[in-house]
Amino acid sequence: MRRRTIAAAVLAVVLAVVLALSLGGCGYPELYERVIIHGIGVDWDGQDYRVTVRSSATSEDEELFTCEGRTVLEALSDLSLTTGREPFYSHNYLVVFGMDCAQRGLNECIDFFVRYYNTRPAVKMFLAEGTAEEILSTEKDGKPMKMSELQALGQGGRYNGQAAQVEILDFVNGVLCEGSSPVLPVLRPGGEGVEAAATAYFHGYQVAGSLTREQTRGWLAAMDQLDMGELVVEGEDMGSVTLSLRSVGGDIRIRMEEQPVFYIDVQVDADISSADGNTNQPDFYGKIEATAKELVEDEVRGAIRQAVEEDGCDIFGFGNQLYREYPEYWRENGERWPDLMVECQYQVLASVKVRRLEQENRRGLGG
Amino acid sequence: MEKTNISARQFFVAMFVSQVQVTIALNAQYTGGETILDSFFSYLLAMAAGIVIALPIWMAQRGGRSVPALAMENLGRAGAVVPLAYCLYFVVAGGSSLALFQIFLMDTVNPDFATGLVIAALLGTAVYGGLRGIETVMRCAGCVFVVMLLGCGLVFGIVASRFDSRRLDPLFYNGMTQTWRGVALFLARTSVFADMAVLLPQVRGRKAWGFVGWAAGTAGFIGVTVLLIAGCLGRYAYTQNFPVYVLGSLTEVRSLQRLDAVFTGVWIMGLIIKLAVDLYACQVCFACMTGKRRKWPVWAAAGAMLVLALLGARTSGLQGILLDPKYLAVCTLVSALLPLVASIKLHRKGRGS
Repeated sequence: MRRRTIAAAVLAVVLAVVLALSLGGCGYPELYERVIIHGIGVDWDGQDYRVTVRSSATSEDEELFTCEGRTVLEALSDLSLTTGREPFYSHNYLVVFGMDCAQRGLNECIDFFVRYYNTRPAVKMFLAEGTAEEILSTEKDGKPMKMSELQALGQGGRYNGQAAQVEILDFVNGVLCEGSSPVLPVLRPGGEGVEAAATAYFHGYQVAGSLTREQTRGWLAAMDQLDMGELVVEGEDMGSVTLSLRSVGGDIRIRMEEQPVFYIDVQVDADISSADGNTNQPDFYGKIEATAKELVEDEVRGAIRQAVEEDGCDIFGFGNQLYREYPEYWRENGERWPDLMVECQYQVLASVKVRRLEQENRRGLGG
Repeated sequence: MEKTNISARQFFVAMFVSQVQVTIALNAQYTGGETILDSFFSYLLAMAAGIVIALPIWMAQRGGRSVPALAMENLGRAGAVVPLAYCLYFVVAGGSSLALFQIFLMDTVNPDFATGLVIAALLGTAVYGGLRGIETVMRCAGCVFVVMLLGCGLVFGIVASRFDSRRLDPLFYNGMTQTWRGVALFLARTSVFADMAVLLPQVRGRKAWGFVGWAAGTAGFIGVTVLLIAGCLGRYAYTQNFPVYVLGSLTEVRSLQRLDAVFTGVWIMGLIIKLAVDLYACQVCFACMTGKRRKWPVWAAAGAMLVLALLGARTSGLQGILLDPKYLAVCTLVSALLPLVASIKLHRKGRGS
């Protein structure tokens, strides 16, 4: 019995040692032997991919590398030639694709970010107005702009209402889902670092055009992805009034007639943040609401006209909604959707409610 | 038959834990199509089929004997085919589960991982559990069940904020083909029927209610998982070999990011319980044949599982057979027919009993 206990103890020790040496990381690179990647930029130079990498040993001290290869991974693997360290992708925040890449089609270069074991689907995705290298090497206050700041540009869209927030997951879904087209926020170097300039939309993996910031806001509102932002309303008798959007809701409904009719409803709650005209005129609030409603409707219509009707990119997912709600119709007509979407009717209806709290307070104080 | 002290609740909780690994290893390749939401209905149909499959097992055990014991009693030496068939089934099912986990480690976690050693370690733990006996495994399964619910609850709760109904595909859009394939998949990866055939006589309490609870619980778990995969990942799920792992990697609560390790932990725990139960069941089968409880059948079955898993993960031909739902589903159905075979009385000694 005792011999058995000793044998079991010896076996346990041997197993522990074997497991510790085999699984515990002996032979695996230490942290300082790795290039911890925070941002990747991909450009196409006509023959090869040119990959720009922002990496760091610590989050405070970011480095910039560029490398080339026939594929994105080949280029990234070449990083070890210049750094002597192993690239580590798990901490990557964002991917920026150059416009040349997008015009050629992102299908070849995005596959790595979807398939590779060490990449994440929640990585933010951007398109550069020029090259991705330009964006990743932009300086702010004399230092290379931090990748965490760049990553926040996409999130900022929720607050300023003028930039889309897209992750690799969303882009792939935009391409693969029935009746939908993906979008990407477009970045350009500005005076104070990098700014979101527009929203590009795609035919499959190939860029087809872009929305202005105003159209982007219209699109975000219709897609129920707009949280807040500022809306400037102007009129001859009321001057410029800046509305802060507090709550924005968007909804798309379908009515089946000969062709599907899409109703896009946008409800906006706003506050007056500043006004330089006469606010005491009769029905001041009513006028603002009517003008703002028109403005919001124009922005949504502008986005539909530009992306759907002119360029045939269903960034609103009208086709996808048809597929979900009327699968029989979609089964018969889905393949013709790129032609059909131009013939469909789109009715945009916005309702803007400006909170009258300030007016009531003023009356109260005046009284 | 060895007298043990496990309740129906303990047994079916262990079966639930074993079954969870079926769900978390789901992907479009195995379910046979892109509308993963249909898989929930596949599971409901599989459970309906499961009740039919469970009936002969139930009937065969009314005398308090396991199906292998009944076969030995009724068929004499020829009855050894039944326990041997069950052993073979457990080895194939365990090897297939281990191979799948190994593929996951190589494909998704890190291709350089010493996967052979990892599954050897898992199997070693399961062997220890199997040798200690069913009561030890069941008690462990109870703890694992709680940890599993907490872990999955955490991941699912966090990732639910990403749910978007616009990503859901209409049900049965591509017809019923995928649904039937899903039924085959779930039947293939469910070894509860064989476990019941061998171990149910050792279980006390309301077994029928336990089975109903197990079916409802696993259906609920699979329903939630499938809904989250479809609503949080959309079509992206079809580009991934292990979408539930991707769900885990999407989770973040402030600085606590990527809870994919929870997924791996849950899978490991479920796998150990499943393997330990199956290895113990192998031991019971051999005890039915020889009349004595020995340790070597556990080691032999574990060795066979290890070889099968290692070959299965590295040989594409064997992998195709091991992981193809069709073949394993046939094995499950055959294992369900064994109680009928065992009920045939050929042996003189058995007639009187």
